[in-house]
Amino acid sequence: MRNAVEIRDLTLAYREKPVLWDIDLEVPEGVLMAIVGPNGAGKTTLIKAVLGLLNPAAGSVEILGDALSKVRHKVGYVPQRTSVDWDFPTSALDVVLMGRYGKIGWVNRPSKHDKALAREALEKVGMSDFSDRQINQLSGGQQQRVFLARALVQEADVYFMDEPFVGVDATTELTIVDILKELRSQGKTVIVVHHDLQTLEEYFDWAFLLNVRQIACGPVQEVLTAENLRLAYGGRSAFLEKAIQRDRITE
Amino acid sequence: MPFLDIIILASIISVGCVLPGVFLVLRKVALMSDAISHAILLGIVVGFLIIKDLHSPLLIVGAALAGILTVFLTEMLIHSRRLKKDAAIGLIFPVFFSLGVILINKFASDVHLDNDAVLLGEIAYSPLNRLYAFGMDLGPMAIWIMLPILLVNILFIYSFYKELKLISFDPGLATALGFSPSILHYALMSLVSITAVGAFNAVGSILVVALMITPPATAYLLTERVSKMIGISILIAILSSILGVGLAILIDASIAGCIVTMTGVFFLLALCFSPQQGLVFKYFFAKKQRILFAAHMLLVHMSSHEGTSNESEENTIRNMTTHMRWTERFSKQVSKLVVQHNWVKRDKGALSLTPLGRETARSVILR
Repeated sequence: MRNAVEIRDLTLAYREKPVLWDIDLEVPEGVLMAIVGPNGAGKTTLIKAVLGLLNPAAGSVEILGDALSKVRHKVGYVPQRTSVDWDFPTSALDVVLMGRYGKIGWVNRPSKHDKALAREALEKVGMSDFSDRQINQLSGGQQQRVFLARALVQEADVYFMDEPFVGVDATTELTIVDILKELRSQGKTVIVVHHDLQTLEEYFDWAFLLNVRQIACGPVQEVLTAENLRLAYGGRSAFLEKAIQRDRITE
Repeated sequence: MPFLDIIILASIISVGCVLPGVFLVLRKVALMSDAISHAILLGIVVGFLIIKDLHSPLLIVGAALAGILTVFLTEMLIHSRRLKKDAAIGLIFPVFFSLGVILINKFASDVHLDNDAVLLGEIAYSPLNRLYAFGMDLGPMAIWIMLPILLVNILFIYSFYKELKLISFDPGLATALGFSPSILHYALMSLVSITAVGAFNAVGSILVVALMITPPATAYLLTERVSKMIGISILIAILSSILGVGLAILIDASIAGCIVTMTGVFFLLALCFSPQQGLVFKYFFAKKQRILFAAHMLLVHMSSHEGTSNESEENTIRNMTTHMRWTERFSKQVSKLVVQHNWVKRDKGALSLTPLGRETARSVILR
């Protein structure tokens, strides 16, 4: 089986301080994978490096067996919601349309087909009533939905999402999870930077545990061992180890 | 008709400045126009010292190069992560500008490149320097310099509108989609440089900044779409040119100064009276909100005292000033509102809830 993402010996440093240290990673096609790890583990840095937004000091990345430059149109990206200025004078529909720009190409304008796709995506995330709304009038959860709709219209095969669940309400979280699972059922690969260990097993089938160095990668149950968590979180997640031990006893 | 010439020239310059200016404001690098418009002086002076002709179009090339060099060095400082963006922008251009001034003092003091012209330009004299071809008067030379620059700006913004919007809103996505933000950034900055050079002669280096930033900043207050922001900026640019020239004639003052003053007037008007974010609107809106909230408080207060022994004392007009500590005037406004909405019946000093008022009080508590 082909790998959706293949990372070899990836090291990335800010000045001399390594942020990612010798990462090797193979993500099989069609999985819903979470990148988890403590704050400052390099989760966001990892997907930025994979997408070519940061220059690694060493290492190589292949997506769907090719260099990024050859498969750009097959890659979707949802940055952190707070990475953009929501006071920017534009509408929700317009932001979604930006997801089509890669397919539209330089200079050309969005067609009727592009606009129809954008409306459809907004409807899918339950935002069709807000398509003409100025984006700063949307709540955090609504903004995140708009970002998700923008990724959907990219019609990519591999998606990277940076913390899509941060600062959203419970309904939005469920909407996002439904859409992630739907993408997986269409055979797409979705890689999500995730914070919440509690929901890991429920939402994802694959996990990559990271803390500057890679700790473990594989099916969620295999990755979520007490040993791995101690390696990733040190003493900071003692509560979780206890929870896991309790689970073992009841088993 | 020298004044008509001046108005036409001023309009072409200001619209030319506004077009790249919109994206400077959106990209939060408005001060880059300040840097560029000063740094070009060095390019002009060096160009002049080499070519020895103040009217050579090659000076524009030299000046544009100086502008782009400023942008390049500033970006390098920013990327070094040792300085913040604003400090980096403020570091390079004063050095370039000073070098330009020193070179003028040392080698070009006999030429017409004096400080006044550098700061404020000489748009008033621009109709005197005319372009003649085939024995025909084709109008002021400056128009023929600025018109192509304006057309290039229009063409660039029209062609790359979508890309400029994308890199301004979300450079990360732009990179991921294969639209290089840095290529577009340098293209935009080159246009800013060329435009600043073209406008420099007529309005000087400081006023170029105002023309690039003030109309877009004004439009930003008035609209929620980039396309409309461009349209409104152009309108303000043209209106400021016409009114500015008129004002200059009226009070016999610097034309460029008056044009920029007019853009400032438009900004002030927008700041106060813009429909959503205007200060005046906000003041009245906030006041209305405060009274409405007080009215709701009153309803809740009355419903909790309804049917109790001290009702006749609590549910009165007087209680609003004595217990709730509202001013006489505010109490009047609140009581007027609750009666208007038919929430409360007033019998002289005594107040009683209507069924609608009771319903409203309940929904306020549940909210």
